[in-house]
This record gives sequence, structure tokens and C-alpha cells, in this order.
Amino acid sequence: MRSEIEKSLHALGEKILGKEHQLKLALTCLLSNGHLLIEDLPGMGKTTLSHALSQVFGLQYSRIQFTSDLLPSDMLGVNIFHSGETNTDKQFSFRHGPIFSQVVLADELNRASPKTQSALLEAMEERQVSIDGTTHSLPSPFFVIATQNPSSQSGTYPLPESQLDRFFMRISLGYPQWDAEKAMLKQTNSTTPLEQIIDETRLKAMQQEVNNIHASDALIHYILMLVNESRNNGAYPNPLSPRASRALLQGAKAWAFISNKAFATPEDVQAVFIAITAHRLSSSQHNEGATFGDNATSLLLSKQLLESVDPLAA
Amino acid sequence: MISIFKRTVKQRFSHRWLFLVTRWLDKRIPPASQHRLTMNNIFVLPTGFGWAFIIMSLCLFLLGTNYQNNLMVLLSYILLSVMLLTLFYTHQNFARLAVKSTPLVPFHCHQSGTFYLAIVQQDMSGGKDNLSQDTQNKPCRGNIVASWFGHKTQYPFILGATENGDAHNTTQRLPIPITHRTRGVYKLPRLTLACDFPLGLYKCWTHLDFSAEVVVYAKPLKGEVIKVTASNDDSEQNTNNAATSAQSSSDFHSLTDYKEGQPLNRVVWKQVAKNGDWVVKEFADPVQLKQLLSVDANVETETAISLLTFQVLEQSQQGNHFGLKYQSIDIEPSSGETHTHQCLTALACLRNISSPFENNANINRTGDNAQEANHDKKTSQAKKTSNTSKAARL
Amino acid sequence: MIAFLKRQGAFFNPSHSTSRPLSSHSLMSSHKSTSYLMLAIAYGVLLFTLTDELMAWVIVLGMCALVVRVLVFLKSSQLPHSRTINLLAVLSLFALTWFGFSIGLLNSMINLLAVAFALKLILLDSKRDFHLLFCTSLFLIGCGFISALSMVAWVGYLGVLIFLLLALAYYHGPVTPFSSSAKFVATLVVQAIPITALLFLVMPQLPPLWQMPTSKSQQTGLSDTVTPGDIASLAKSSDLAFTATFQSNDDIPLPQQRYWRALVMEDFNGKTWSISDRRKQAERQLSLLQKTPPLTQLLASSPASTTAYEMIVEPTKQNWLFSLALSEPDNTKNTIFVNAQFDYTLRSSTPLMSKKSFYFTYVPSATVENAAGDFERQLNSLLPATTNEETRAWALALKQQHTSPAELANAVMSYFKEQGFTYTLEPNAMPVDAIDTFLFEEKAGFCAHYASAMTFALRAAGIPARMVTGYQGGEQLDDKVLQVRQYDAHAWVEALIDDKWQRYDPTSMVAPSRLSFGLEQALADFGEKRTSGLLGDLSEGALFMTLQNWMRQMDYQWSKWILGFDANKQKDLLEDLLGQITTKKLTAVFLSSLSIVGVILLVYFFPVKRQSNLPKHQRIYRNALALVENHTGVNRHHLSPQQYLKQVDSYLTHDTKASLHSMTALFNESVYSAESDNLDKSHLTSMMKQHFDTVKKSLRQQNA
Repeated sequence: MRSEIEKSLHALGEKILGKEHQLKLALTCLLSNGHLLIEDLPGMGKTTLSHALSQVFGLQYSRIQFTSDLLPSDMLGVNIFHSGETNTDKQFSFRHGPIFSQVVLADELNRASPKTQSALLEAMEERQVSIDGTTHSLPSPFFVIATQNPSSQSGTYPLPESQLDRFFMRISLGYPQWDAEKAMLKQTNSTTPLEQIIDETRLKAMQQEVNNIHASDALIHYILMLVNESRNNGAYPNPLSPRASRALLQGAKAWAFISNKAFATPEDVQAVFIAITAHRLSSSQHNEGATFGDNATSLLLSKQLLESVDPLAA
Repeated sequence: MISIFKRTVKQRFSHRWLFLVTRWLDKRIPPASQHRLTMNNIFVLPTGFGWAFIIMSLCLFLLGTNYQNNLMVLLSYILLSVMLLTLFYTHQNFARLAVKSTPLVPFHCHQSGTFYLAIVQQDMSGGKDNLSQDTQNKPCRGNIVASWFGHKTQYPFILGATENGDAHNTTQRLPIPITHRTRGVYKLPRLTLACDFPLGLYKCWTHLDFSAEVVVYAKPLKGEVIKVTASNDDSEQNTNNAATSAQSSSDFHSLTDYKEGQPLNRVVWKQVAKNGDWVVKEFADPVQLKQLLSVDANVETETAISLLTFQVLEQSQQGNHFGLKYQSIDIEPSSGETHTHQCLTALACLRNISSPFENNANINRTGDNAQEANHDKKTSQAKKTSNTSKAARL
Repeated sequence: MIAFLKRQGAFFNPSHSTSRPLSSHSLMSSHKSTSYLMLAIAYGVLLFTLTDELMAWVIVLGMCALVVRVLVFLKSSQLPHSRTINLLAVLSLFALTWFGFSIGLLNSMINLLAVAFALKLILLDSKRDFHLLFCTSLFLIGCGFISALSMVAWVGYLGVLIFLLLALAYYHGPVTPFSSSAKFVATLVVQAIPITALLFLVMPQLPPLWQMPTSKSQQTGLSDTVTPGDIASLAKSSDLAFTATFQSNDDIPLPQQRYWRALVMEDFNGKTWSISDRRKQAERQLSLLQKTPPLTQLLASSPASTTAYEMIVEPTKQNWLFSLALSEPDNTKNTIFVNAQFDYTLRSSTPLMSKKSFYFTYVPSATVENAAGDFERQLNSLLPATTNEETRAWALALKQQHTSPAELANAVMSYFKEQGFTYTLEPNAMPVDAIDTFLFEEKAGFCAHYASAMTFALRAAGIPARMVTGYQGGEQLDDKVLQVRQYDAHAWVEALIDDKWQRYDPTSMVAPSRLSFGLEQALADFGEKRTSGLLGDLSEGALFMTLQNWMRQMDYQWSKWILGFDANKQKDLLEDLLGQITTKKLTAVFLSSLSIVGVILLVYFFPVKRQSNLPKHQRIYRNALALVENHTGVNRHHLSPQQYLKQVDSYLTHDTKASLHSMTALFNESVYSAESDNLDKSHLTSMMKQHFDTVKKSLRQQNA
């Protein structure tokens, strides 16, 4: 039944070598209908990943390179006045921006001004765009993969926590393993596009199936314990929001789906936990900008939180 | 000098004892940032009043026996029963306490820092068991007396007392003052918490190690330091920074008249279109004083560190870009809280090469060393021995 | 270098504690002052219960302290200067020393304690002082029990104790509301009472360890001198003198035989009968010679019928005891040793400061022998010179009429019967030649008059005679219990005839009902009442009688089981509960009851992590994990089972792993799957159990 999942994972794995876990997480994110934030150094394959995803699912793909002078309209689109001959031709028409795609790669999101950032994030949340009083709904499925570059932070506008929360997951790819990189270098057909494995309707059906994965009371109790621990233990400056707990449940279900299980177990929660919570837990104390150090801290926090709750505790 | 190395038997004994106690405590109550009090980490003994109470009960028993008065005997039995029960109540109450450390804000030596200890409501982890909910989930009550292990000064707090009287929703934080006389990074000493609720007959206490480190900054001292202004062609890094700031990162400041040769992309075209005034956007490129702070090598190290500390604070307050270059410290210019902290920490941890013992004086990361250091403040002999022991280790 | 060493400091604490919320501080001080006031109130109550022991000025001082405390609480007054208090203390010390000699050591101590308490109370402003005063008030409660022994007193003092504990709890709970402190103290006391009861039951009842000072003023009951008239004052009192408990109704002697012998008066100075100094001297000498008093040999002659009984004696603060004439003390049972004397009286080794049980064996057939030979004869023939000449002449005349002493004595007895004597508690005063006046003029009096007169007459006639005081009669409380009250006090005569001391009770000649029906009846025969007024009338109402009887019963039970509880009763009770008692068994009982208390407390206060609400198969699974943890020594921490099993993979054999994985699968299925509610629980449990056994077995094999 889920051979297509396996197949697509396999296909993705040919493009991005040795990152099975991250690929599965990205897939989880897609199946949970959430947006993905990739935080990594340049050249790690962020673009490749997003591109490969769109190819495998046969989704329409566009890429927006964020810069400090990128305006919301550059991204969302503008009303353009047609100066045609006839009066009927003379009218405003909406030209769709690059955001009107099923998979949007928002590259170096944190380099854009807060205004642009928030325009994107609003679109992400609402899945529609309002320009000059007209609401344009975005295509479905709509999947944003945003990247941010942690090292060159000068001239960037780091995302505030409230907006980080809107990303379902944050992952980082990191350097590949020796063998994986070796295989990558030996690869010859790296530019050939991947063939489509899952189509749009199937994707929607799968998203529905994910929702039907059973989550027992015990599992929900475990998630609640995790979330409450972050709230009651002062070690976490940004406790997890209800949105985070919903994301955890959804992520766990999707992970269980990918793992070909009929119900979600604490292992599924644990598998997605760090990806889902790390960016939400990150500390707000150093406002000068999220550095690598902060990333590490937030991972540590997330890990600590995960370890502080016993899944068997009743 | 020789006498410094001599130790009295008593001191040696007390050191040995302290070492054993510390080691035992480390095993018994291992360091953690959060502690939940249980059977294993609580000590209970009657207080002075408790002993008086027991003696009083025994006196009444003797009196009752000698007068063959069963009522007196009964009274003494009741008192003893109360004593016995209170043991459990005291322990039960204290065992409800759960505390965790909050990150310790660094402070300067000879100044008072504050360690905030947060009281955690214990009931959240259990959650489900409704039967025992109301008995088990009561918070710990009474007076808590906090003190640093091995120190006499006590800081009393009242549990459940908050400003607005609403003790339920707010997490109580106990501010516990702490100071240190020397700069460096230290292990936070064990914190002793004691409570005698409900009747004051017993004292329950515990020594908690929060496995936290304290950065004690050097004492700031106003004075002359060498400020080397980092020129633009100094390094590639700097030019890069300058370039980016000119382009994009700096903030819009004001509009000025256009002068020949200025880049066209700064012209405010809207203004030109409106009224033909050629104005350009002027970006506030604050005169970012990128300077390296340093001190002449002749100045005594401690003084130098104090001077630099003062400067770092001053520069940081003004929001300047600054770097540090002194002895082994070499920090690139930057700004911000993290940077300031980095500079101050580096200064705090700098080894003092002018003293023969300095390479081990500053960083006391191991527990026993820190403990020894804590207890050695009074006698210089004791200090010396702890130093020699450290020297031997290194 | 030195400079560096100086720098090498350590964490030290700044002397100022910077931040304490103001509100909580004020809260705390309000709790404190309330606790102080409560302590002061408890002290005030204690003062009023100790009026017997305390001198008036001490009570006044205490009340002043209480008033000061109330004023301080109401914020209308400052604490007095300590110099003032010091001055007061010095004055009080002088006063105490001055009065100390007259009130005895024990009372001085109590007074001193009360004064010190009052002075400290005025200055009370610290935790230490509060604790000190708390302990002192506990001691004052203890002192209260010296004189107040009733159940009511006990309940009252328990109330004061609870109040004090409440003050203490309130003091130490700075933000705890009063109601929760009260709830806590109530729980504490309710829990303490069973433990107390158990302790009381099983803790060994010790005999007095050393002699304690006694208070002088408090002696009650019979006195060691009799001036006819004294016993009359006793007759006004219906206080209990003692309670005697027999084994069965049949054992209770007939009313006429209920002579409770207490004191023997052998010295007469013309007015007053008293215990002879020479007798005391003789007793001392005899005990030094280690002669055995005949009273302790009664049972040695194996008499036909004996009756064992127990007496609960009210505290008299004196040494002498009484017993049914004649009874041998059973010192194997008595916690206070009872000495027998050669005049067949009894002395306890310590004064009776509290209600106490004594055990005796009554030997009806026993007679009072002349135990000291000629000494007794001489001692009891002495008469003061030149008094009551008329009686002497009468006696001599009788002596000539009757040759044998027995006849003579009977003649005296019948004189009382025939000459129209009357029985009254309110005879006219007879200041001069009391016996002459009584015998030949007034011819009205009560037991002491009759006994005194007859003894005098017999001595005048040359027959050694002495006056014996004690109690006669007793009211039956129930089948086995006789209660003797102070108004049952009596005096009679013993005359040495045929070298035996024969009992003559002249009162019985005048008022025979005194013996059979008691004092009340005897007085009624002569148209008199023991008490007068409203209370007397009231006491005849049926309801009142029932109530009184009920109270008496309760008081008796209280006396028997609480006040009179001793090693003996303890043994009997334990024997009832456990059968034959041996030392081993007793130790076992003692230790096991203590450990039961311990276990109950532990269970109550340290609830083990209960998993009972978990289904059984889940518990088995957890146990399996625990087993693995134990085996591998790798702590699971908070890993999920699968991760944990992966971690310990290398430690386990293939079989173990297979079983564990099946268990995990079962567990996940039962806990997390959608069908978890529909699963067959018993099947699941048995599967789990099976796997568990496999795991256990294979782990054991691996260990071996």
C-alpha cells in the first residue's frame, strides 16, 4: 500500500545521499500539510531537496530568492494595468507572483525585510493572498520550504519566534557522510530530473490517510506530558504552544504512516520531536540574531526535553 | 613563607572530612539542574526545639512514673507520638519540594549576584491518578532557609508567599545572593535548603548541586587603556563588513542634496518626479568605532584585567564595536550582549602569569577544588594548601 | 604572593539579605503575634487550673502578663522594657524564697515555673523564647495532673495541649491559613491517640524510680491524729476514698464485716489520740532487726477461706494505707511496695500522689495478735494523769464487778446500749474532760466519741486498749465493686484480751444501722441528715441518682483502666488478649506492636509508586523491562522501550530479544492501537506472562 512512499523515498535518496532521516522528515512535513524550514550552510542541498520533492510529487515548483530589497509584491504578485485599445482591455489584471506554486522554495528567508517575511508567513498560514482587497487562494497542496543561512547573519532579519512557530519543522541537512559524498561525486546523472511517483490526488489521499492514523489516549498523554514539561520547567524560555502540540501529534501520525504502521507510538513522536520543537524552543535572550550556537542550544533544549519525560509514565 | 605550608592537624582533619562529605554527597545527590526531593536526598534530624520537646516528654514520663501518675505518663506518650508523627509530616512536606536552577547571570567579583531558584509544582508529571490528587499534590509549605554549603549566612524565604497572594499560578523564585572574591569560572557550590514545617520539631534539609557554573567577572576599574582603532584596510573581514553596511544593512538616516558623483541608486526618484529636487538617501552609517582594547604589558595583570573589564562595560553600554587584545585574548571587534559576555568571560578566565600559582587559580571546575576554595577563604595557610594540591594535579 | 593569596577567595555571602517580599513579612509577623497570643491564652487557662498549687500573687502576675500580651496583640501597647522585667524578676525571686519554705519544694517549683513563664511571656519576641515557653507550658500541663486526675481534667488539659500545638503549627506555617493549621493539628492528634494508646498498653509500667518531693498542703482523708470531731468533718465529704474490686459478688464481705483498718492510735494526751512516737520508734527498730511482721504471714498458716481483691486508692499524699481487716498485701503485684507493720497497719513505700491500685488478700479468720509482747501491753495501758476522773472511777467500779476482761468490755458496750446514747454528727462541744462529759452528761456523739471513751475506760480498768481508725462500710457500685467514701470514715476499739486484740465497735451498740446500712441510714434513724439543703433533696431524685450512678461508673472505669493501670493490669489485659504470657512473648508483643506502628506510618506516609491502576499485562511488561535493567545494569532513563532494547541489544541473547520484542509489540498493540479497547485482556495477559517467563528464564541462564 505504501510502496509508493518507499519508492519516492528511494528516488529522493538518489538525489540527496545519506540523509534518509531528513528526507523522511521532509516527507512527514509534506504529508502533515506543514511547512518546512531548512537551516543550513550554503551548498548543502537545500534547493536540490525542494526541487526533488516537487518532482517526485509532480508538483508545480517555484523559487524565490529573498533579499533585503525584495518587496511583498515581488513575491505575491501585482495588479498590472493593461493599456489596451478597447475599454474592455483597459483594466487591472492580477499577475501571479512566484508564490502561486505548489512547492515554493523561499531561499534565505531571513535576508528579506520583516515586511516581506511576514507576507510570506501570512500566506503560509492562511493559504491565500489578499491584494488590493481581492483574495486569491493559493494552490493546493501548498508547501513552503524556507531556508535560512545561519552563518552570514549580517544584514539579516532573523525570524521572530512567533513566525518560527508557523513552520511545522526545522531540519538541517549537514555535511554528508564520507561514503555518501563519495557516491555523490561519482554520480553522473545528477542533473536528470526525477520521475513523478505520486500524483497530486494521491498526495491528498495520503494526507487524509495520515489523519486517520490512530493516536491513542496514551500517546496523547505522552505528548501532553512533553508539552507541559516545557511549560512548567523554567529551563525552556519559549514553552511549546498548542500549535506545537498539534504539530507533534500530526507529525507522529505522519511518521507512523511513512513507517507503514497503523497507529502512532511514542517512538514516532520521538522521531519527529526534535525537528518539530527545536526551533520553537530556541531562546529569545540573544536578540542579536540566531547564531549557530543558538541552533545548537535549541537542539540541546529539545533533546533535554525529550529525555526528561518517560514515555511509559502513566 | 614556610609557615604558610604548615597545616594544623585540625585543619587537615577538617579538610579530609569535608572531602569525604563532598564525595559522599556527589554520589548521594548527583548534580542536576533540577531536583525533586525524595527519600534519598533528604536528611532529617530534630531541631534544638525538637530535642527540648523530647527531653520534656521524657521528664514528664519520669515525673509520671515517680508519682505513679498515669495521666502524666499518657501526656508524655502523646507528646512522643506527636513527635513521631511530625517526623513523617516534616519529611512528607519537604519531599514535595522540587526546585530547579535558572541560568545564573554573571556578576563581578566583590559584588553580589543573585541565584534564582525556581520552585516547581510537582504534580504535573504524575497527572492522572485522581485518587491521590489532593493529598499528593499539595505544594511544599513553610519557611525555607537557604544557605550555601559550608557557609553560615542563611536566607529565609516563605514558600507560597507571593506579592499578590495568589500562589497558585505563579512560579515562585527565590533570590539567593551570592558573591565571590576572585574572578574566574566556578562551579556553583552546593545549596543547602532546610525546612522545619509544620511544627518546627524537625529540620529537613538537603544539599543540592545544580551543576551550574558561575562566571565571575573581574572587578571593573576605571583607568587608561590602549584603544587601537581598527582601520578599514586592516583586514578583509572589516572591508567586507564596511561594504555590506554601506549597501544595505545600515538604516536610513536622512535626505541630503544630490552631489555630483553620488551613486544614482540612492537618489530619491519620487522626490525628483514630484518637484525636481535631487535628493539622495543618506544612510546612517554610525561611526562604528571598531577598536581593539588593550593594556600596556607593564601594567600588573590583575589591574589590567580590571581596567579592561571596565572598558568593555563602558563600550558595550555605548553600543560600540570593540575587540580585545591582551595576552592570550584576541577577540575580533563586534558588539552585542553575547560579545560583551564573551569578552568579560575571557577576561575573567585569563590566567595570571605573573603569579607562580596562577595557572590553576582561576578555573576551578572540579567539585572538590571548588569546595576547598570555598572554605579556604579565611586562612591563608589553608588557601595555600588548596593551591598546592591543585598545582600537583595540573 | 601574599596579595594573590588574599585575592584567592571563595564564595561568601553578603550579610544583607536583599529581597524579601514585604507583604509576606507582614503576613509572617501577624502569624507570629497570633501564635504568641494563643500561647498566652493557654497559659492563662493553665493558671486557673493550677489554683491549688499556685500562690495568689503568682496568678495575678500571670494574668498581668496575659493582659500585656493581649495589648501588644491589639497594637495598643509596646513591649515593656526588659529592665522593668528584670526588676520584677528579682522581686519575684525574693517572694518565692520567702514563701518557698511554707509551701514545700514541689509547689515552690511549680510557682517558680509559673513566674518565669509570666516574665518571659511579657518579653516574648523570638522563636527561641516561643519554643522555650511552649515546652514550659507542656510541663505546666504535667504539673496540673498532680492534683487533677479526673477524666474531665484530662479532657480539658488535652484541649489545652491541642490549642498549644495549634499555636505552634500556626507559628511555623507563615502563610498557611488558620483553618488548614487547625485541620493539620486535628489530624495529628487523632493519629497520635492510637499510638499513645498502644504505647500505654505495651510500654512497661515502671515502679517509681526515686522519691519525689510532695506537696504539703494536699493531704486528704484520715489524719494521723484523732480529736473527736475530726471524723465528723470528714463525714461532710462524699469524696471517694477508695474503690475495692472483688473477683465475684460472693467474695464481698457482709456490710457488718467491712472494717477497713487504717491507723492505730495508741497515744492519748487527754484530748487527742495519735500514733505513739514510741510505736514509731519500735517499728523502726523491728524493721532494722529484719523481723517479719505478722501481717505478711497470714497466708502462711493456710487459712480456710481467702479472698483476693484490688483497691484503687485515691491519692492521699500520705503513706498509710487501709485494707479489709485483716488482709495481707500482695506485693508481687503492687507497683508501690506495701510494708506491713507490727500493729497490723500498712504503709506504702511512697506517698500516694496519684490513684493507684493495690492488691490484697483478705483473710476473714485472721486475728490481730499481740505482735510486740509487753511493749504493746504497756503502751496501751497508759493514761494521762488527772483527767476524766469520773470515768476512771466508773471503770474501776466495773473492774470490780467483772473479773474477766471480756466481760468488762462487754459491760462497757452494753452501757452504751442501755444508757440512751444517741448518734449524731453534731454533738455539743466538750472542751473539758471530754470523756466524762460525753459518758455521763451529753450521751450524744459519733464514732470517735464512742471509741475514745471506750478505749479510755478500758485502759482505766487495766485492760490494754487502743483506738483504730479507718473506714467502715462501702457502697456497692456493681456486682464486684465496693466504693468507700470519705463519710464512711470510722473509729473503733481494739482491746488486748487473751493476748489477742479484739475488736469492739461501741458505735454499733448505739446505731446498729451504721454498720448494716451506712451512715446515712444511721443518721436517719436519729432524725438527722449528713448534708443539708437543696443538694441533699436533689440527690434523692431518680434521674439524679441514675446520672450520679452513671458518673460513678465512668469514674470507676477511668480509675481502673487509666489511673490505676499498672504492670498487673497490663499483664492481665495482655493475657486476656494473647493467652499465657511469657517474657519472650511480652518482648515479642512489645517489639511487634512498635514495628506495626512503624510500618503503618511508613505505608501511610511513603506510598510506593502505585501501579495498581494499570492493567496486568502492562505491569508484566514493565517488570520485564525492570528485569532487563537489572540484568544489564543499563538504566532505561526515559528511553522508549524500543530504543532501550536497541541500546541493550548486545547484552541479550537471541531468545531474550525475541521475547522482548514480541512483548513490546503486544504492549504497543494494547496501548496505542485503535483496537486497544477490543483486545482480549486475559489472552494478552497470558501471552505477556508467557514471554515474561521466557525472558526471566533466559536471563537467569545467561547469568549462570
